Amino acid sequence: MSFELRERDRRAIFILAAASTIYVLVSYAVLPAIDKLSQAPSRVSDTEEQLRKYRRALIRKGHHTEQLQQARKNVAEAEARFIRGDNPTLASVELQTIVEEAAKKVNLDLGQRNVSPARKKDDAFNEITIALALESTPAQILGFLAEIRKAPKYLTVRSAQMAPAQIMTEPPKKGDFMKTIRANITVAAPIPVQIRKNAD
Amino acid sequence: MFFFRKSTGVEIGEEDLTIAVARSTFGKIRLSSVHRLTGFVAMTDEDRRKALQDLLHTNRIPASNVYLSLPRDQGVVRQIQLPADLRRKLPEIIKLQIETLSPWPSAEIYWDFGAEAPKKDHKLVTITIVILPKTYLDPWISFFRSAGLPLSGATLSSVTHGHGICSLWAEETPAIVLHREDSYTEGILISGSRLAAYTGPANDDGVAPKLLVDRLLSAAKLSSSEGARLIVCGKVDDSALENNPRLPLEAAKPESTKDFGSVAAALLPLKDSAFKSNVVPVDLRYRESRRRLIPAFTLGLLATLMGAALLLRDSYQNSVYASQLDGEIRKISPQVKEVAGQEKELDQLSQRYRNLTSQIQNRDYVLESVGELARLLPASAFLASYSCQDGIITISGFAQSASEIQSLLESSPLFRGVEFTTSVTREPSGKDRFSLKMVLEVTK
Repeated sequence: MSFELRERDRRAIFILAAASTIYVLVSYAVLPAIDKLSQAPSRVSDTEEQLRKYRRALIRKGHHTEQLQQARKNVAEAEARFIRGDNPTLASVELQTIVEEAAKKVNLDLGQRNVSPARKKDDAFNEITIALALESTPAQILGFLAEIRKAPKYLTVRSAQMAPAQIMTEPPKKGDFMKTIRANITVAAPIPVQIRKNAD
Repeated sequence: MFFFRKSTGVEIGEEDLTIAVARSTFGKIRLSSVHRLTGFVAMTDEDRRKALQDLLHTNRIPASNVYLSLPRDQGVVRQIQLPADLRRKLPEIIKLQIETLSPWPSAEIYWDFGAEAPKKDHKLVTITIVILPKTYLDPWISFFRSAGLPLSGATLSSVTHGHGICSLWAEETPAIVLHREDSYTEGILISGSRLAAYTGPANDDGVAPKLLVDRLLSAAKLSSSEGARLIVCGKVDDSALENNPRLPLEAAKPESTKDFGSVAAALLPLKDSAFKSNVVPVDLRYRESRRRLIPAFTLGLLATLMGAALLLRDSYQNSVYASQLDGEIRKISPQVKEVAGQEKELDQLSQRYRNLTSQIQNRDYVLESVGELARLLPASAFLASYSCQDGIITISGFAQSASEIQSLLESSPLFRGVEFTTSVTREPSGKDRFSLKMVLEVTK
């Protein structure tokens, strides 16, 4: 069977090839290029804004060094007021030491005491507490609380329950009454969470 | 390959010259115009040239693709049949036979042939050979070139009419063309790829002279002209054209059939048929070089590119500008990252400092609350319990008047929301037993 291409066939093939070429060119080259170009104005405004921000940031470059030094110093000073939390055991020991020294200063005999492990308080602080059960005079209790407040490290009384050993409704007719107070006091020590040195 | 093409068909009759202009647009043919130069043959060469040039100039007739149809008696047409297998070798075979077929020596003639398209089950192919003495054609080639209408092709009128019939009507209905001139009538019968032509005397009595038609039918071996398409053209009255079929060309008028010869000549370069032939030697054919289109296409392309460039100029400049900005950003990016790192650290340190100071300021108020209670409560009041947790203080005890205690505590700047937690009871000692709850009003 012979196969002969006539002029009409050649023309059809040529048109088909031309249409295919145009389609491929338009779809994969022209339209993407036009799309890219048409997005250029918005890209320019975005990029200008970004460059403006970058330049503003560069202007601030020199100021940050001093500010950083001051901020580090302030933070270090503030952190010095707190028990260090690098080692929870050491922190617990330090809390007990402070509490015992405060008690010793007012001749308070600490009875039962219970130290809790460090617990997360919020994103910035962990907390360790020591629960104390006391029996002493009001002056000793108040002196103890005053010593706790004056402690070299920041401590706070989380809760306090006090009740007289002998409940009175009126002064005794003669002699003095026993001024003994039973107290349950929980002293807490907030421990700053160490800033993680990330790689940014 | 042309999608837009114009051609000019020229027919030389006994006295007149007719010109038809056709235009092909994607294969669709339109008859643009038809012109007639009356008495052209009788003119001197100079007059002919002038008349033709005037006609060309006045009507802006295209001179790029001109095909001439000469009177049948200036040459001969032969038809032979050859095996279809030899189709590819036809030029060599016919060249060998041309001396036998030509009444003139082969050195003194121009010839060409047309062959029907191959069909299934047809073992033979009909070849139409046109032979023209050089002495007839050369003067016309020279004349038309000098007149500004150089010939691209030429053939005999009978073959031209056959080509016209085959080009315009695809069906193989027999067709008879009667081309009338003052002194003769040329009859052509086309049946498929077969062509019969006969020139008889002019006969004013009938439109289709019976003798001429009978001879054509006899030559074509047809029994009758029943059902055949009949076209009368040439020098005839308009009334004789009424029975002519309308030419299937765009913009063709009913009277266009009168100049069927020139119209058919104009179709020679635009359509293929079994009769398509061109006796003008290849080296004498006028062809417009496609290179002439190069400047036009180049300028067109440049104009398009320039237009596109103008349209896309803003976007392109923006794109370039954005790239420059990107480069600038990349350049300062490391320093900015350093600054951003510093700012981040500063933020973290500030936040930490705020947290630390806030924690320090957020101290307990146990001492203050106990001191305030000692200051406020009257000497007759006795406390049975004190509790302080999460800023809420609860006390219980005995007093002459529980409401007095509530009032005293409420008046303190350290407490607010003082309220009884249980009902107040009167003790046998005559004092009220109370239990109060209050909130520390702490200014942090």
